[in-house]
This record gives sequence, C-alpha cells and structure tokens, in this order.
Amino acid sequence: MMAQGKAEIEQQAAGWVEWIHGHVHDTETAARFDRWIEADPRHVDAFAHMSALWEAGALTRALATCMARNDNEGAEPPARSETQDQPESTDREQTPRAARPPRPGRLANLTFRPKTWARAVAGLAAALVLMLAYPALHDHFFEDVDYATRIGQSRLVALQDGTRIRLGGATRLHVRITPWSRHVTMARGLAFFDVAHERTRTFAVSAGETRVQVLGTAFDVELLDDDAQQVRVYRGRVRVGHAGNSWTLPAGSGLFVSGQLAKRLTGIEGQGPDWMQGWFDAQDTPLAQLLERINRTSPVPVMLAHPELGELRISGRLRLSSTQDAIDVICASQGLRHYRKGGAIVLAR
Amino acid sequence: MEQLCDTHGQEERAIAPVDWEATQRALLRYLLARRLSPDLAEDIAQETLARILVVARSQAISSVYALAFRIASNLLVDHVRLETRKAPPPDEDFVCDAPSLDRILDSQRAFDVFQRCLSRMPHLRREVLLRRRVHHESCRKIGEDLTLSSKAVEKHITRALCDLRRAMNREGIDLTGWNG
Repeated sequence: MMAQGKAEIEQQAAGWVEWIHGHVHDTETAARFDRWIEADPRHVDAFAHMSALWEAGALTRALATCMARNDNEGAEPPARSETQDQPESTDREQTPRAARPPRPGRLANLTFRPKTWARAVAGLAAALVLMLAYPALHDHFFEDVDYATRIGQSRLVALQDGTRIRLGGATRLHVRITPWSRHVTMARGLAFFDVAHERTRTFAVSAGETRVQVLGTAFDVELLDDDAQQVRVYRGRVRVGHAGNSWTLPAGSGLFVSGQLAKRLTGIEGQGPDWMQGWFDAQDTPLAQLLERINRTSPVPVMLAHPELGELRISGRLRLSSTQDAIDVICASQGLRHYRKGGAIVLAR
Repeated sequence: MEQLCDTHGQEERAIAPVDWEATQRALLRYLLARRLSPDLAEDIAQETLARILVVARSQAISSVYALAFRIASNLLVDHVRLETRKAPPPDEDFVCDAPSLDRILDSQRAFDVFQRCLSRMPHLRREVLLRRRVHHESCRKIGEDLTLSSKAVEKHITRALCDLRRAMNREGIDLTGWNG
C-alpha cells in the first residue's frame, strides 16, 4: 500500500470525493471508504485537497460561465472540433435545461410513503434498543454542568479533571467535558481559571465572540457585554481567537476585544486577578463597564442618571469590595455626585 | 447528510463503536490539509465530533469518516461565509492566519485556471462534471441522458477532477502547502 504512487492516490481520492457527494451510499462501499482512509495518512491529505477542489467556489463559477457559453454555442452550428466527443443528445439537452422545473426540495420527502414510514419506525425501534443496551453512554461521554453566582457572591468550583474555576459575582457559565475536550462557555460575568494540564485534551473557554484556548495555565476571562471581552494571563500561555484572528498571549499580558477592535494589555502582575481580592485596576475604562463590575459585587445596584455618563473614562485602583469607597473615588475623579433613589445609588453630574 | 447513515436494517446489526481518537486524528489531518489554522481546525474537529455523537445516538453510521468529512466541510463553508462578511480589523497588532485552501481556491486566479482547464476538456467530460457538480444529478441519471454507463460517468468525473488538480499544479497553485 505504501508503494502507491501519488497519481494513483489522487485518482482514488477523486473517486471518493465523487462518491461522498453522491446520492446512494451502500454500507459495503462506506466500509471500504473507511478502510481506505485508515490505510494511509496520505489518503486523508489527498481526499482533503480533492474535496477543497470539488467545493471550490471558483469552480462553480467557472462551470457556470462555461455553461452560459455552451448555451450560446447551441444556437450556432455544432463546433467542428468537438463533434467527436459530443453525443448527439447533448445539444438537445442544452436548451431545455433552463426550462426544467426546479428539482423537488426536501419537503417532497415528507409525503406519506408506506415504505419510508416503515423504515422510520424500524429506525426508531433500533435507536430504542441502542439506548437500552447502552444506558451509561451519555454519562460516560459527557459532563454538562451549569455554574452560577448571584450579585456579590463568589464561588470556587473544582472540576472532575482537577481544574479550578473561581467565579466572580453575577456570573454564569457552562462546563462541558467530553473524552476529547474540555469546554467552558461563559454566558456572563467573569471567572479565573487554574487549568489542570493535560496533553491530549485541550481546555477552551468561549465568551461571546472570543475563544480562549489553553496552552499553559492561569488566566481570567471577563464578558463585559455581548460585544466586549477581556482576557488576562497570569501563568503560562493561552491562545485567544476572535473574529477569525488569533493571538498567543504570554503571562503578564492580556487582550481586550470589542467588535473589530483589539487592544493588547500589558503589566498583568501577580498570581491572579485583583478582583479575587476585591480590587480593580481601571485603565481608561469606560464608566459603564466599571459599573458592570461594581454591580457584580455591590449589594446595592449602582446606576447612572444619564446613559451618556457611561462614556466617561476612569483610571486608577479601586476597591470594589466596598461599593461606597469605589463610588467616592469615581465621583471625586470625575466631579460627579451621587444620591439614593428607590434602593439604588444613582450617579449624576 | 442523511445518506451517510442508515435508518433501516439496523435491527440485525450491532452498532460499530466509533473510534473517537482515530476519527479526531483523521479530522484534524483533513482540516489541516485544507490549511486551516490549528485553532480553527481543532474547533471544527470538536464541533464535528459532537455532532457525530448526536447522530450516533439514534442511527447506525455506515461510514464515520464520510460523515465526519461532510459535517466538517459544511462547518467550514459556514465559517468562510461568516469570515468574508466581517471586515478585516484595523489594528496593526493583529496576526492574521495564512489563507486557507478554500480561500485560495476561491480566488480570481483559481477561477482563471479552472476556466482554461475546463475549456480544454473534452466536451462530454465537461458536460458530465457540470451536471454532477452544479446540477447535482446522479451518475445514473447523467448516464441515461448521455447514453453512458454509470461507471463511465464516474470515470469522467474522476478524470475531470484530476485534470483540474494537475492544471492547478502547473500554474503553481500548490494545494499541498509544501510545494509537493
């Protein structure tokens, strides 16, 4: 098998690409395909290249243009050079193609046909047998757990693999562990991850449009809003993907992304983020984002008298564990005042 | 995708357990051969495996690799579509990934090569490829219309693909990524 030539492999790959896009897949050929794929890693490569070729947008366009040209040719006398290849039926076939009714869509398959229904019932029965035979299948493959904290609450979670997650206030995330992956999806809030190192299973965190993939170990992720996310790395390295781009962040650095904008953060120090000790280092942070953070820990909601105040930029070290302290600092630095209204603190000019 | 799984005739056949590791390996290799960034390849491979698992719970899969490659291709198409809709970011700090094979094969240059190659192809072969690729006709239907056997139709398609592949190589558009 290893002595197989490149041209031969390519030809086989082309045949399989044609087959995989076909209408009928008998089990015997399917098994042969699996054996072919497993026989030689070069088969996978050749198959991938041929698939890319088959699916290429430029090929569809090129074929479409040659179809248009052929239709024009149909109006002219048959081309001399090509008569040899061309069966007589081809020209007759050219013109009616455009007028042909559209092929039946998927809905057509839903019409009642006894045979189809018999198959569907048989399939369902088989699925039932399968579930009875392997009751532990689901538990064995998956660990799907949601973790959440309330405002002002903090929670330490230890996962099955040894990873520890510290959830900040008002945070919700979903942990999904499978035999091949470890994946956390953050719905809101912020969390610090101390990831157990594994060679085969990657650990990834998705927060909005941002995806963090762990190469090394300690980092935090904050979902500021649907559009803005921040990642800071304290130990090891992580890979962050956002909107089709990716960055590798070493310890001591971070990344802030908002829509198409990305900003590198530097000077990330210490064993873990300040927020775990109740501190926050604002670096030209919009007040709206700062309030989002404060409201995660504050027992009293803090609001703005006017939404445009949210645009104000704040810098400095704030003690978020004390809402009153943080508000005093913000008001002093921005010349704002605050008052109580209906159980909330309101910031105003 | 339904064609790649059987919903009938399962009663007498025990489900072959899916070799997840081998499938993941093949998927990654497949996606890397299509020159995706390692991150994206891994993302798509994982999403594909998750979807196979869902299918495997209710149906017997006749070819796990075929199903895997089809799902991965579809996810890839979705990704490319999404990516092209997004404008490139303005920050110079960005490290952009090298273009994927699918992007290369969607370029104007690739289009020119395809067009030249198609115009040199025997008319019948081009006709067969057009019907199969663009109109999604089955080999049997094409064979009936063009008075060819299904086998002959398949052979025309295989040859056409190899022709296109060679044309790419000749024009220096390297599909393998290492000048092979």
